[in-house]
Amino acid sequence: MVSQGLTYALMVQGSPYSQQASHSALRFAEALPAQGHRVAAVFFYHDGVYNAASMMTPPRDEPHLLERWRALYQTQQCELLVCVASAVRRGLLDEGEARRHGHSHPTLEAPFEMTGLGQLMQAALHHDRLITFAP
Amino acid sequence: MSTLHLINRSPFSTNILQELAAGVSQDDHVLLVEDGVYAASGTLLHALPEGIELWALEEDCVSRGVTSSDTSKMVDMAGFVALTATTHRTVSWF
Repeated sequence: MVSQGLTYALMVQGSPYSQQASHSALRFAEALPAQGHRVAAVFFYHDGVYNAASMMTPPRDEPHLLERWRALYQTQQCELLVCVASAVRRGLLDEGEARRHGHSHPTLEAPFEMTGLGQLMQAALHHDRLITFAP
Repeated sequence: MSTLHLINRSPFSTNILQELAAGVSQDDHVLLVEDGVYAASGTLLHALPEGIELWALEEDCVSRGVTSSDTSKMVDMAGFVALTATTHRTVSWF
């Protein structure tokens, strides 16, 4: 058993509500503090970027994944990093990208941030563990 | 350096376990999660060499009605976290 707390980076590649990756990653991240660890960054890649869709409106009796990510951000102060190349082609645009491409509304909002693969590399290098939640 | 290998695909739709058999080292751990737990109850894990610790995530087994066998041990989410902390790195196969 490791005594001091570790910082974790997670990569989520699974689409919400069609694959289990988001649920697995959230359950894993939520279990970290009990052992003194913390999730420092979550990187959403490929279809995983749909986890950041700001208009996500699941039925009330189903888990609200966007709210779960926001709660994780609140409780563990983790970065929620979205791959810009994966996101823009799937219609997920923050305010700057929406304006740049002539759309009236953003579809991705804080605490999610548009980033590039450089930030994935940074997260992998700076944190103690990188765990990939595959599609 | 010990590695935790994460398998989330069913053994009936991929050959990942056979590929993994060539990629694991002594003292590595293999954790079956999601549909990967379908490998936990049968003899499919015999493909892996001796000296590898085999685990299956309990909640994914329960939700699929999979019972563990002699070859793999059950671990809960806290155990999953502990495995990632005690090994040096985690590799996901998919």
